[in-house]
Amino acid sequence: MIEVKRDADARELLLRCAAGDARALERLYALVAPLLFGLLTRMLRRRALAEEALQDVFISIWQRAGQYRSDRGRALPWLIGIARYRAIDLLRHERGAPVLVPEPPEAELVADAIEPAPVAGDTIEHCLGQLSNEQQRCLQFAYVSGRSHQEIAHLTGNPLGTVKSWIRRALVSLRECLES
Amino acid sequence: MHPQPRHAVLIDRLAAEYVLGTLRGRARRRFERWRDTSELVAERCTLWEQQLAPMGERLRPISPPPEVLGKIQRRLGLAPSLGLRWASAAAVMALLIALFAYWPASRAPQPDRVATINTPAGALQWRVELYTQRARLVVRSPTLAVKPTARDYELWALPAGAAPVSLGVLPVRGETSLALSDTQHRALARATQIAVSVEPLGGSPTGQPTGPVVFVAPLRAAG
Repeated sequence: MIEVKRDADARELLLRCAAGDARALERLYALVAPLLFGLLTRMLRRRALAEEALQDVFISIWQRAGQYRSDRGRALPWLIGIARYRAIDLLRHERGAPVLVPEPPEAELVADAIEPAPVAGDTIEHCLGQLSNEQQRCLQFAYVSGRSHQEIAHLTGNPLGTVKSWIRRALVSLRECLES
Repeated sequence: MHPQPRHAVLIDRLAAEYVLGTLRGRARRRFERWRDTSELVAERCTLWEQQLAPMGERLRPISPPPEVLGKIQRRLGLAPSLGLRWASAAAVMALLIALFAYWPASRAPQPDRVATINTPAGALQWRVELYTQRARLVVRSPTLAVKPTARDYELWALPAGAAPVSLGVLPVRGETSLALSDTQHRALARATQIAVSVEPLGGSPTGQPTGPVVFVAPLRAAG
């Protein structure tokens, strides 16, 4: 139930940020910055870049807090969305730049992936579990590590077309499972 | 709008790949514009954001370095909370006394280069100060800038013979201190001018100016 409480707290703090309450931003930071920084570090693979991105993310959160609609869903996914889109934008600019930190070994990716699942994720956990191992790995690489189709093809040693169709089919299966 | 079923399937597929992050490049930017203008597209994105987020929520958290919160507050022109202020007040006071007592005025940091950006009416809008040694850019805005709705002003270095390099989003009022990356540092070393463009909130999504350039000003040696 901790996750449900964290989400409710984040929603409340977002509302107060939208009203210009600077103290609420501090509390929201204490609540979600470690989660977002973990995600940014994983996606950007460079700590200094992740730190800069975290600053940008909280500036966006403050400026856009009023756009969060609690009737459209939980607050954490909204906050995670801001962080991930920022990271993907930065990755786009970084393309061609040398990667200074090597890809974490796959064991680490798997270790991260088996952290206890939050309550709110029960449905998606169930639906992800219905996918093939290859499909699950592809989704993890894309969502959690910010990898492109080409990079996933390279990392998993599969042809690009195969990776694209695995992901496409995985998303269709997820949609069907989530709606059933 | 009542999209055809095929259309709805396409939107859903694109929204899923957009949220997942595998929709890249120009297709991603085009889709972003579509999301910004279509309620239906935005709705599908929100749905996928909600559904995929648990993959991110279960990742191992990492504590950011302690100074990051302060940097965010400074960039937003927000003061840290009272508790923090009192905790450090004594230390800050001691430091200030020491600085005022022993720091010769001439050693106070001076900017190497400055640029002033004035409104068409001639009022100072922003003063940009470059501190090369400290790799910092300080932007002061004494007057409230008239900002277009849901847009930000973004500052750019214009290095000779190269593409503009973003220096960050400008404050509407107050002071912002920006740490310069190596790229920004190099671009400024080669720039004789800076520019300001109008961008979506949070700055250009592409890394290059996407909106109209509203000001260009020379970057002069200070003194």
